[in-house]
Amino acid sequence: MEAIPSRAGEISARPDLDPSEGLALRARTDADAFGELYRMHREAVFRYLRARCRDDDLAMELAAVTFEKALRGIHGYRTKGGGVLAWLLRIARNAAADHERRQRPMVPQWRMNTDEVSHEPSPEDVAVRSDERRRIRLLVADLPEVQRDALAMRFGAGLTARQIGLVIGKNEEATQKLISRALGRLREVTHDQF
Amino acid sequence: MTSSNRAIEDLVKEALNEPMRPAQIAALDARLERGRSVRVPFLQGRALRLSLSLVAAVAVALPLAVVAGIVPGSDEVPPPADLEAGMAGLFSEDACVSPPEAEEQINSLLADLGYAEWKVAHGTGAATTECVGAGLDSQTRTITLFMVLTPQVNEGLAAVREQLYRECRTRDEAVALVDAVLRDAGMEGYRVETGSLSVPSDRADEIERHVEKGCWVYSTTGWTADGTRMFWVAGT
Repeated sequence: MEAIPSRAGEISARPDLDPSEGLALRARTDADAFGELYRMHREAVFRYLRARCRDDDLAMELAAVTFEKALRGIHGYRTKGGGVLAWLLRIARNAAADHERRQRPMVPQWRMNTDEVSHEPSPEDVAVRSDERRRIRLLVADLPEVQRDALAMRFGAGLTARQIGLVIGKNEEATQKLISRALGRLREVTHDQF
Repeated sequence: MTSSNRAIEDLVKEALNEPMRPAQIAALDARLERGRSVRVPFLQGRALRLSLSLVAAVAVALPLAVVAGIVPGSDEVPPPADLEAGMAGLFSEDACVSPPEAEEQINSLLADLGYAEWKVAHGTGAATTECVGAGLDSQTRTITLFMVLTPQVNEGLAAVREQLYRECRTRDEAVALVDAVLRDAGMEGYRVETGSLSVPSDRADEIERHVEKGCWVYSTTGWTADGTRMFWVAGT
């Protein structure tokens, strides 16, 4: 278990906190700790944003915005609200929403799909699976925002339903239902495709 | 096991869990590192910079990918203030500027302000559409014209948007309402399809709740690579 300095500088052990909580608290005064936090969560934040905005380059940009905002806001971080990743995803969600608002009307999304380039290796089976994954991500991105967010946080970033609920403002049960509905919808639309 | 036999949960998990490529990790690391070293927001983003430099007509319609695609390399350089101000005077949301008018007025403005090195380019469909807006890219010194809707269509769609926020309509009804506005305006060759939800930020919660009840709303518009106008409705 990690020793966690509290705001008052005390050392406490909090079994209910995830390991990155300690890093987040240290990162309020320690730039290296923030770097560790970034390395720990960059992948999850990116995967969430990729699922949300369907374009790898945009997801990269928004991931960078997310961590910049997190760096600026780390002083205000408190050990509540579902953990560090949930906090980061809240920032990522706001960054993505801000971006969408600024450029509304939205990009005609299928155009971005056709522009997408696979960088996967060449063997056919790998290519087929890669294309399948890409198509699933596009279908996820087509879901209503709240369903898309829930799936992206659950399966892209690995949050629990309770943590997701804290980010999107729903209780755990409602979030679980939301995820089930989203999966149900995907099951319908993929019926003829996979 | 073939994909058709796999549960949708597995497919989604696999798709959303696909890891970042090493090059992506390196690029993200570099962006953050660069930003931290100069102590400024390290990433405004090409797309954002483009959107900020767009003149008034941006509110009408801007499929950013199209503009980004035809104005490559837009980067840190802000557009000249006098040019930006002059451009803002040429376009407004309640007036339709045709492509020839826009080109003529922009060229005149460039000449008046002494920006001889700037050029005007046409985005997808912008040479033949009824009304255009324009975006500035300082790096390539290009002003790109892009398609916008007529004021009449904008007004009609705004009314339909509000109606669909107030009333609970099915997808077919939402499509019919959007379609009616477009047909009344004499538009042809467009498509109305299901898309993602895009809502005003200050009403996001209210409208998401509305949609979650099963009500469909008008979302947004854009166009395809061949210039076909797209209008999206969203719902659950």
